[in-house]
Amino acid sequence: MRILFTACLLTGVATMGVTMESGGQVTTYDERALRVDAAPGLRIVRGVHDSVVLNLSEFRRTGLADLVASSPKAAAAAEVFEKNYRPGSLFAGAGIALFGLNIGLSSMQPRPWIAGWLLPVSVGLIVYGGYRLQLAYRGLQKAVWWYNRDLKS
Amino acid sequence: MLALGVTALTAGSLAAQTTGHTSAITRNQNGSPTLPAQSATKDSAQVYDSQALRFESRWGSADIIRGSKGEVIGTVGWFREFDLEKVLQSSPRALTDAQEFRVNNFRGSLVTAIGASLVTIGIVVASNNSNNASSPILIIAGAGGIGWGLQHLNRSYAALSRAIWWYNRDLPNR
Repeated sequence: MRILFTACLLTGVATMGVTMESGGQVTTYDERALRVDAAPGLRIVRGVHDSVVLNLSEFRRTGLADLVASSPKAAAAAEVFEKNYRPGSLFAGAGIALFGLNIGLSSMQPRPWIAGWLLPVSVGLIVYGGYRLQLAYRGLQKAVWWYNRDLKS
Repeated sequence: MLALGVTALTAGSLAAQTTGHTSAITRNQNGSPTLPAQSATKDSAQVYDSQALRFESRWGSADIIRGSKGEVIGTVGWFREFDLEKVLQSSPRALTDAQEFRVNNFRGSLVTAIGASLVTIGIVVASNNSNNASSPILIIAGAGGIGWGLQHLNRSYAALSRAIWWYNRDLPNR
């Protein structure tokens, strides 16, 4: 009787073990899925605990492509991000700096001749930089989406 | 003793039933997944392909895009109205973040617009060669407003990103 009881108990425990193992598969997304976090600075966080896995620097290659390398489509989208993020940040930053300089010069008497050129040049740089940044952000969102999608397959 | 044994066996059987019979047959003796598990994974990937959301920025706004084909289901952003909460209502945590997005996006849009207007007026006053003391005040106040507004817009997009992450996480078959 004791043997029978032990056998039944072990069967029950073994079945519950399979249940827990099966449940473990469900948490893949919770543990591994990525998300873009925007405050403060742009960064990539992973899982429900928001552990930071990548800080996206404007001035050097970010390593996003390496992070999502397990998914080919995500890696391709990450390359679009890498190609556009740094130039976009630099052009937009230069445009904002020139725009600030233009504001400073506009109050001087008499106005320096260069002040007339600063406004259109700065606006042009901001628009072009913004365009490149927009391409970069699209690539970033696509990369994260495809990476998370491929966690399923 | 027999009753205890039956209870243990019943508990085991019930556990197997509640997880679906696939849990018992989805792995072979080596522990590698077999056809039913692969099928479930494929289903999950198909649901993600057709239902999962993301957003893509577009000149101060963001298109909400569904699925791998990139269907745009709405646009949010600078004074753009779209019932995001209705789309995300199937996930309670996504809904909370969507509400945070709505509040911060409105505040950020409003204050950034006011700040930009003040800066523009300040520049116009300063460039008219008039020695008006209000122009630096307008420009500084406007720049401050833009900074504060952008901070809220930044927060709003962080909330939007979280909301979509939770929505995708809570899709069925996950």
